[in-house]
Amino acid sequence: MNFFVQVWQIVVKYYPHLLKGIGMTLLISLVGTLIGLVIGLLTGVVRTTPFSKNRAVRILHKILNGIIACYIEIFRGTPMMVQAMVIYWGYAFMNGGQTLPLIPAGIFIVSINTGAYMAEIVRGGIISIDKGQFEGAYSVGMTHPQAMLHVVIPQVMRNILPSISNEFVINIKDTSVLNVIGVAELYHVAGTIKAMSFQTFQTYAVVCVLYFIMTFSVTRILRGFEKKLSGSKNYTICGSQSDPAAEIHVKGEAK
Amino acid sequence: MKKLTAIILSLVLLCTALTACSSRVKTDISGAQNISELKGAIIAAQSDTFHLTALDQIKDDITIKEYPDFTDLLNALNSGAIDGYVAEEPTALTVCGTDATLAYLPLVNNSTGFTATDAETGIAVAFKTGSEMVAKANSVIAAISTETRSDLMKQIVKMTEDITKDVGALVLTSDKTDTSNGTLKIAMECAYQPFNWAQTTDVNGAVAIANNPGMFANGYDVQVAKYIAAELGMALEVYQYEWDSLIPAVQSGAVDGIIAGMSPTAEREEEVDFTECYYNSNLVIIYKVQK
Repeated sequence: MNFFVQVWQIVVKYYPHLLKGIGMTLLISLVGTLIGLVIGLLTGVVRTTPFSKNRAVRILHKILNGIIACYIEIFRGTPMMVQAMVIYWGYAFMNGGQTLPLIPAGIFIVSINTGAYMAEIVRGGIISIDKGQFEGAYSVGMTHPQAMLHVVIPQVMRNILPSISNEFVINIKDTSVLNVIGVAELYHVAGTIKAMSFQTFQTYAVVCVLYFIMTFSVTRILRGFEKKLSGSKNYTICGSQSDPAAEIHVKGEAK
Repeated sequence: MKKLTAIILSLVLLCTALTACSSRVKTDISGAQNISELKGAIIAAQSDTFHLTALDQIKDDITIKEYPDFTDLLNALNSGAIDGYVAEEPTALTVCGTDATLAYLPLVNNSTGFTATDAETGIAVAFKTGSEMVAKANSVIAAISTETRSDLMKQIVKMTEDITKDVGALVLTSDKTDTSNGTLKIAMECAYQPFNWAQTTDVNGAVAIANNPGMFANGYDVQVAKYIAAELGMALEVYQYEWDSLIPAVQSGAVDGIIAGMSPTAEREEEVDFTECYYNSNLVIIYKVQK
């Protein structure tokens, strides 16, 4: 029983710090995942675009593809903790002791790391879309960017949503490595509390529950969003080939 | 029925396995007068410290374990994984003061305790190699008497019993208020009681942590840093960094110096310049009082 009392005391005594830590963790992981998604979309679109017939544009495109490939391999192939140390202290050494502001530095590190994973997720999403979708779009006169933007990307977004929520959950947990550069996220706060209270196990028990609450709510929210995107089971098709005023009612299977 | 039997059988197996591996036979070291009487015990120390190398002096008698962080040592001791761990006397005073089930063997270096040099047991301020601050800080440190050092440590240890309580005026305070000589940026972990720790109020002359808003640093190191800065006519800024980031922080120029309970070892001497020691302590062993 003593253990639970100690755990509760930690919650009561240090809740402002824990809340601040949760806020910081959520801020960095949310912004980092969103920026990572944008990086992933841009690189994914560039890498799946067919080569131009214009020679100069084609060479430029190949160089860009090479750069993107290097970026993905390097940032996917090294631990985020190491990246944090190298970027943060590398910048300080290059600029005579001028350090990056901590929170933007944390967001930057999470973003480029997530971007490398997202690039592959988005590329996978794009190549999984049936070729017929592109062909159909071309046949009604769309250019490649139009087909990408209006036909393919909306489907890609829906398909990769589970992977995005996966990345988000991973980021919530992985921001904990940013404590090596001193970002005051939840794990860093736990370190401070454990040094103040000398109750290592009790502190981490609290933090463990907090992390779980965060990741669990995020997965539930995104799952709801996914369901919303899938639309209603029952819908109506207005008009048919023979009768423009027709209404075809489609009923989903009862589950 | 078969399934049920299988489940029950596996549960029984699991329970036997668990009971078999629990409860290690602990060695009682509470009566040890010197380090040769620790025979048979499992003693731990923090990785990459001279505490760990000091344990090599009795490596034939004991089992040595190492942990990366000093709170891990405490955890290991409380869980019963080890019989005791090496710590410096101020740390031992703090830890034993906050937990009545812990006590320490008051070993004395080079007599009943471990063989250690002054450079190993002392802690010093580190500056960037070639910095003129070393000489300046040395002149301030030299003027702090051994008596003041030990009195200040006693006050600091008293603070650690409850870091929110005011213990009154400190023995080491500077009356200089001029800060025209610029800012002195000092890095420390803020997680190594009683040398430095983080607290939520500015009670007992704690200093705001520049890169962790809302938190304040206090402890022996902080008070020494305050004194050095004031005596040199500088304003003090405290930065919180992980242990491994302290030396890069100084080398890159992100901070001017480290005051973090750091011993001036030969390896570190190659990376940064150290001042004279501002505190010397004994290596002791913290153990759990057997019921």
